[in-house]
Amino acid sequence: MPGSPLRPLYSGVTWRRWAFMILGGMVSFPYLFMAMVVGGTVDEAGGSALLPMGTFFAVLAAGLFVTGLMPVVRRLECSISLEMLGAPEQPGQDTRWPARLRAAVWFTVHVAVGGAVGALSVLVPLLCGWVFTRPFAARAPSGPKSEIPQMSGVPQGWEGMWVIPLGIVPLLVLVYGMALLGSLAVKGAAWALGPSPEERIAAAERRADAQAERTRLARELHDSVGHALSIVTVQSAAAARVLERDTEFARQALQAIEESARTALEDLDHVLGLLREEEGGGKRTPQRTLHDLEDLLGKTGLEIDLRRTGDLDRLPAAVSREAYRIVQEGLTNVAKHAGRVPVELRLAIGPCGLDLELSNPMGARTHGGGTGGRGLAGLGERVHVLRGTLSAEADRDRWRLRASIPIPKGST
Amino acid sequence: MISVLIVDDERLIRAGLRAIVAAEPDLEVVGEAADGAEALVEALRLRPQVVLMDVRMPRVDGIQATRDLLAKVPDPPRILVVTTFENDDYVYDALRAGANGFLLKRSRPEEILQAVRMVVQGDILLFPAAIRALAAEHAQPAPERAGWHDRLTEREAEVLRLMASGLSNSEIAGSLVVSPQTVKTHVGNLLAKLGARDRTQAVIFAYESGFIQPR
Repeated sequence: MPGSPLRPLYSGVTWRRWAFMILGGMVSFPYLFMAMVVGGTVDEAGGSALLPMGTFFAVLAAGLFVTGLMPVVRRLECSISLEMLGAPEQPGQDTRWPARLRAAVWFTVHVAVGGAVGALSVLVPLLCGWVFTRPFAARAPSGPKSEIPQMSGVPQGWEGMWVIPLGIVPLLVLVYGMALLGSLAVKGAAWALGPSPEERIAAAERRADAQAERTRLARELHDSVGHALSIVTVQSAAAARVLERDTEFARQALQAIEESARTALEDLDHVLGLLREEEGGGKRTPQRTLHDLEDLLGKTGLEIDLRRTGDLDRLPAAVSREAYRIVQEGLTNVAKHAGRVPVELRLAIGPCGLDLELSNPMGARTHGGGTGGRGLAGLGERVHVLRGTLSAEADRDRWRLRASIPIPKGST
Repeated sequence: MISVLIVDDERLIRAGLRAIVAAEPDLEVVGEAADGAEALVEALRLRPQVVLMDVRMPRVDGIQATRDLLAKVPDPPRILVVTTFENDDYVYDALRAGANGFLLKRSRPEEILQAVRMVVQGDILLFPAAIRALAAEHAQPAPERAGWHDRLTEREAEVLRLMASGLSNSEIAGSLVVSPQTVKTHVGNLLAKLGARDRTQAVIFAYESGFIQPR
């Protein structure tokens, strides 16, 4: 730990971690009782003199370990650890056995060590208090039979003051021991409750994918804007040269320049919007959800037939937000590729999740190419993160955009 | 009259270049092509002196089209590669493939016209600074060409350096105090020794062999 060696004494971090361990210790009481009762019964049956302590600790550990396997315990440990230890930075989401076993080991150790820490936290100050009072304590009146233990060789009064620094030693050992234990606990929490190696790899891959997607978007933007500006340059240069001789060419050139510049601006707008969204720049405007759907549908100017079943409030915010984005992107694509055609929008919200379908008759221009595909790719990635599926395909004479996003269990 | 063929997949670029070139009394647009395959057909049919060649095109791109034209058209045309982006590895590949020079689509009309006229004369390297920058970015060291300039005479090596800096034959003659005819002979000899089609290729080889440092 950097800084002064005295830091553990006054740093809030030490005390917060200490409290974390004592909190674990408090959980130990029911298990202690259980171990005493069960251990006692087994011992009576077995009748061995060596057995009591062994059975006692075995039953205690088994009880704690089994409790620790429960996902809810892991979540609780996760939030307490995060609050008091600041670790793990990212709670693990893996529900497979190795991760659960790590959580169970963590819970067992937390409670067991916490019990010991709790006991020491009471006993060590008592011991120190007893040492401090030695020089002032009256000699026991009845000699060797006394109930109060004596420190032999400690004289009464001022000559006995030298034991006071001695009494501080156990306190210091306790505090520094706790600081050490606390930093071990931080490492342990990251190991036991943090993401598993598989999760880390998956997260790194997702980040790499997102980065690749951004690079691809930027490259495509560079190409398309470069292309449009080339047209603008060449056409305007040509128009300026032939202006007097060929006004018809000049007029067409101006039109082409206008069109190219407009397309380039739209592309810029679209791609920068996507990049900003990915950066979490949503802070700029409140994130919209399906509750804002009516508003969105009203703005498109398209004829939209909306049928909805189920209660919007059942949907977690993340799902509702994503569904809103899908509808938004879908409608943008309809307007861009099929023009002003009637659109059907179906939303079905069930106990398991949301099914969404947006369909429209196919226009003269086809879907898939151009910017529509890019927007959908981004949506597909985010839907995938929510463990859902997204598809967009021609179905006879209609274009169908379908999404299905499950509701995570226990989130409603 | 210099005859020009315009190759670009974007109709609006073709139309713009055509208007710029056709407005000149000494230049004539003889045809257009929308990709590399069409370019070969039209070049064989129309036998232009200069081809303005886009690099990125569907089906057959400008690099392949450059190779095809140089291999299949008898007395092949001069090829000017036309590109949107300066730092484009396609452009470098097209120059390696034998294109005589390159032009940016954002060039001023005067520059475009000057490039067309200069490439026909063929005794000066177009845009030497841009070619050096491209070589610095894209040239792979070519060990097989290491030491090949040893075959050049001292005079020829000097001429190659001056060529790379963008001097014309007559400027080189002035700089070396020899007759333009002598320079022409030197250039012809060094192109033959390097196996280069023209000045552009010779200069690119010079960069790739390390004879001249592009950086």
